[in-house]
Amino acid sequence: MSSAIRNKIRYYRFMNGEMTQQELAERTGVTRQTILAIESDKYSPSLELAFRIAAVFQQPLEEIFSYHPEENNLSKEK
Amino acid sequence: MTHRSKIALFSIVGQAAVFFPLYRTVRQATDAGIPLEAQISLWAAFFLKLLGLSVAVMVVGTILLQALLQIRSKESVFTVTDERDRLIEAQAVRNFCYVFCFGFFFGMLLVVLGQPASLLFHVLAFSYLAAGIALYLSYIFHYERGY
Repeated sequence: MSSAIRNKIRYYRFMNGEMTQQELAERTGVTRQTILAIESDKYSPSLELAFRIAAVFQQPLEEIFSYHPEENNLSKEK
Repeated sequence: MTHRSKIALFSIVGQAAVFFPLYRTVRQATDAGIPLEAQISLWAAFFLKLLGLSVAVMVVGTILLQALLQIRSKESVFTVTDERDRLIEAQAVRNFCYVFCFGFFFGMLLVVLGQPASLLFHVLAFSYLAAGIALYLSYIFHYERGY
């Protein structure tokens, strides 16, 4: 069950002093399991959470998250 | 397996452990051929005891299991409940309602078809158990596979 939203959270965590999932979770007010689910494309965050994650990395939203509906359609067809 | 999945798994076992001894007791009493009014009273007591004991077992068991998991993993358990948890909870409760409603209306259908009224209570009891299992399996499914 993967979403059509891809993200670069892992990359930006690495670029921000190898921030842990737990640290990012605490800074965005969610659980580590939710960060793990978002990173592995198993859960699409709400718009508010996506903005909070982007704010932690001081990046625009579209730099962290991107929408790929065609990939999701392909995976459903398979 | 996530902590929440482990607690959901424990809840299934706990629910079954509370249900079957209570059910066996009421089954033995109703099989003795007592009048319907007395049976209704027994079933009412069964459902109230089932609810009370289930809540007590879940609360005590969850606290103990959380403490155990926290000691073993050295990671705080359930510090926050976030948007994903709420979505999963809504999905799980929806599944609970579907299963219980199915059991409820199936029980009513049996009565309409001329089955004894006492059968309704058996169906309701098992639909409550099945709905509870569906609830916790939904938690496990969504926490393990994603939402």
